[in-house]
Amino acid sequence: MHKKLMYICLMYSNDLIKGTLRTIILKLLSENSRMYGYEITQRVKELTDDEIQLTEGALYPMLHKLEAEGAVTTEQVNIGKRVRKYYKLTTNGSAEAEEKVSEFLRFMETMKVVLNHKNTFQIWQS
Amino acid sequence: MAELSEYQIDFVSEEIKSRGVNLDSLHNDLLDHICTSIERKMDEGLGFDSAFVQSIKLFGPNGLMQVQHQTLLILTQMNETMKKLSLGFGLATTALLLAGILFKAMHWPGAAIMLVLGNFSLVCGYIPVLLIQKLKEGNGKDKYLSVAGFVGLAVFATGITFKIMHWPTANILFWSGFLVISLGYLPLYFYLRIKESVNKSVTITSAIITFVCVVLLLEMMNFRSSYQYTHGITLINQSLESSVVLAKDNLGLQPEGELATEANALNASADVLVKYIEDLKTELKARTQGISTEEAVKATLMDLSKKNDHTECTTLMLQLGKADELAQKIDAYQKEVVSIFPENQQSAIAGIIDLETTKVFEDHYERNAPWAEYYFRDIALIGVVSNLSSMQLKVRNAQNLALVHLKTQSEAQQPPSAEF
Repeated sequence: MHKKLMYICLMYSNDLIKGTLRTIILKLLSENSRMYGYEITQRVKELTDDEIQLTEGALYPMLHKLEAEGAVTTEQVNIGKRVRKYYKLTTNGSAEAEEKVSEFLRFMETMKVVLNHKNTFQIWQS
Repeated sequence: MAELSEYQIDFVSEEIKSRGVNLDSLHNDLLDHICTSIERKMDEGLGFDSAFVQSIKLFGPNGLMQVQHQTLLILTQMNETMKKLSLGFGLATTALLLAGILFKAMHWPGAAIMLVLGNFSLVCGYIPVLLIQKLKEGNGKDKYLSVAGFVGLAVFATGITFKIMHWPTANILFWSGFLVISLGYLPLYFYLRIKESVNKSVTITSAIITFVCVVLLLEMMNFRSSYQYTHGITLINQSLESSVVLAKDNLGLQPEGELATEANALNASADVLVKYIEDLKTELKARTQGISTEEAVKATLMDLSKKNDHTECTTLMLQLGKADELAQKIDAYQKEVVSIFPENQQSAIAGIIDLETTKVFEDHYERNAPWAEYYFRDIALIGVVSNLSSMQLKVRNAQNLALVHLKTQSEAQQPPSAEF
């Protein structure tokens, strides 16, 4: 449980958010030509009014995975004595971002239909 | 807008390292992240110290270590192809090697090919897949560790296979693999572990125990062919050598009359050949043990510490061509002996004296080996010397067989009255 909490700290329940981290990062990167880690966490906070807090513990492992899979590349810029790594989408990454976002939107539509349907429970029970 | 000084950045960097983050690319990410966070908080009016404490707190206790742990975990999950490859090669290697060992133990045909294929699957399949995976996972010095370990293992395993197959360069492979593992992998492994280890004493003692085990292993490899075994072969050689000496005591077989000339020529040839083989034995002992010829003449096999070594024997006999030289001399001698007998007996006699060097032998691995390979390739000094002693005995036996024939002939020619 402790490890799962590492992924995303949130106002929503854990199960609900699990699996969306990748989509969130890809979507943000597709809207900005390049972003660094701190910037991504801040942007998520801003956009969601602190409802979703992307923790560092979740962000960096995912960014490294995306890099290893070739969905993002990095650009390193020296800032004084430290190095800032900007992440940007590759062509593959852009395609995946589009796919993930549209998949998630369709999923939400479906859920809406299911949850708004009055007789859902009766149907399931019968 | 606040900007951290070089000194402050160094401080943060060291703090991150001291919390266990040693993955370079992740370290850079975290350093920039925490520094940016500190700068923002300083913009809001905090001092560096409290801004640092708050920024680090964002990660929670042990947080930085956890981030690295998660990153490694997520990066090292094998993808499906790698999983299938490692499973496939792993099973193939295990099955082939186990079957190969079983077949070899039972002396069934096909053991050699299985061992070779098993080794091939290990060295060209399983090890590369694991190495690629380890290189993905590892960072910094851990990569050297993986390379040293897997390369050493691959070379070592190939060396063992080559040794089993009696292929050339087996020893070079075997020992270089062994050296890479014992002088590269193991020291590096313990160096890295001792550095990271909390209980240094435990790591250091286990390093020492491993070292002792390696030394023991080396010792056991000598043990395998050790005392009783060596002693047995030495006794065989001694018995052969004394037979050679006894067989020369053949005055009673010498014919008289005109056939004596022919017999003397034969005696001379036999003496020359036996002497030649004796010199060869001395040279082999001298080269293997690294002593002078005079010392080698006096030394018995039991005196030599390197009697189980085979490299010098293989070099001298096969690479320097002594085996071919010996074969020529033996063939010439055999021809001489056989020619003494009437033509209709010659092939039977050749079979009995058994000095043929042109025939092909079936070796332990059911492969055909030429005479020189069969008697001298990768055979320990003690075995080579015994083989040579056995050849000396055959030379003497052939000589005596021919002498008996000549003597019978000479007695048939002489008038029986001479006896009276």
